[in-house]
Amino acid sequence: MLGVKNLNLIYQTTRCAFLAHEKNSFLGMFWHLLNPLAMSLVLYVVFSNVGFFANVDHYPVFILIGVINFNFFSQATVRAADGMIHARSLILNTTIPRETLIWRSVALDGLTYLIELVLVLGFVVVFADGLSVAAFGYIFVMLGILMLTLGTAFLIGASVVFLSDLTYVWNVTMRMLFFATPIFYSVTMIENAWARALISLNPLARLIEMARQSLLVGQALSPSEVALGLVGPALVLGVGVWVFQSLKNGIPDVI
Amino acid sequence: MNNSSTVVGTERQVHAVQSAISLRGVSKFFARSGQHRRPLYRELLRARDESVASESKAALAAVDLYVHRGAAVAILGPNGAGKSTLLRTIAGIYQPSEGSVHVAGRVACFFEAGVGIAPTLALEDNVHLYGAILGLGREDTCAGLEQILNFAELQDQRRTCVEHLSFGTQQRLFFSIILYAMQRRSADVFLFDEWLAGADLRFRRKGQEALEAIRDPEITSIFASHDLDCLESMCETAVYVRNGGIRLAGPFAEVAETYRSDQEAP
Repeated sequence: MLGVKNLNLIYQTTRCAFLAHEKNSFLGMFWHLLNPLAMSLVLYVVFSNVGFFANVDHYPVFILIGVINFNFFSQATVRAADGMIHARSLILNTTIPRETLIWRSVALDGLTYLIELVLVLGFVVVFADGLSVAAFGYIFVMLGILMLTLGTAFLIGASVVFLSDLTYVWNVTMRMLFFATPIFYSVTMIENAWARALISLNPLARLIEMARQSLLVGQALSPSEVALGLVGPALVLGVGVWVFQSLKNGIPDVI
Repeated sequence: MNNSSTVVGTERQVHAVQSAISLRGVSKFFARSGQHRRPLYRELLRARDESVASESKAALAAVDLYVHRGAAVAILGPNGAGKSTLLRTIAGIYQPSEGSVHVAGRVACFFEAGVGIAPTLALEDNVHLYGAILGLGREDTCAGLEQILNFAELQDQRRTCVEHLSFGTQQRLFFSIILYAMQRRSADVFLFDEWLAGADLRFRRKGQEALEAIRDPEITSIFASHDLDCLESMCETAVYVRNGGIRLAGPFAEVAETYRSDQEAP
């Protein structure tokens, strides 16, 4: 669905969008670090005083890992939805593959994610027990979060063109998902079995748990854990690509 | 109105084999204004038996068109006739509601100069960006950067932000990029819609001469414009579009004469 010829297009559109975004900013790329740091700090200050969370090891880093993964998913999918609507002129006046618009959104927030990840790794080294060989398992987390985000971005990006208020629905969904994702808590902390099972269905929850296991606990991911963690994102990616392919030819007619 | 078969160039049988572009019985319907993008609740409440035809308007109606590889064809027609829809259907941007479209090779469009660019960035960055949109590779654009800036007469402004250029100067820049893309054959079919409308007379003449000089037997070009003098110097054939159909197609002089007569008629 995406040829090698379009890689230059994705590279150029992402590069220019990134540069344009940074150009008039006083702090430039440091905003990417401040955003998750500030969010993690607030969550830490609030929840570290709640007895339930007080005993979590390396709680600030624990939160930060959840925040950067959630932020990537949330921001890239919201950007994909907005990006399609705002790309009307590009869609109607050029022959660029529509998929590149989705790739551009994900790539742009992917860059931010990578910058934030460097921050997380630094925090793990300085404030936690350091990195072990198990940290290589994080590659599977990155693969999973990429598949999940890309699949959802395809799904939302194509659908929003046909359903005008889906952008509002998706913004509300992201706010609810923030609490339904183990960002400042862990799935094992949930006492109610039904609620725990429900939260576990969220593919993002499993990926964040895997991320903490490999980076913070230093315990290698087993093949079954990796398989379980990737099956949800793979399904979402499959559905997203299928929906996008089904709808993309009708996009110029309605946008 | 001649809707049955329109041949641009030679015989239809020959075109069936050699045509770079062929449209057979192509119609394009659009939902009437305000009824296409719906709020979610309206979509959920929408009656299932609404037919597309009952609420849509035909922008193209049963168009047959065959264009030779290497031809330069002018598209003439009044406002709202369907010229832009025809170009976008050829480009593959719109899918036909009825009929079939076949285009041999890649298509590059110059419908809205500089669409998709980053105005706050420098010319150099935007040459790479717009080049990528037109299908140029990174190496190709790097190799042609000087040539593009020289043709646009902006060689000393490569670090200037595009937003600081006038509209006409921006058009010069983006036209120079598509000209370079034609030279590099980044696509097989190039489509132009009212290009260089904001550039001054001298640059328009320069651009026109460059387009004439660039004629390549492997590249098919289609130009839609109201500037008949400009079209006449570049195109040997023309297609006159009216009310979504092909009114006439053939040698430029004959088609242009019919178009002029229709325009002057009360």
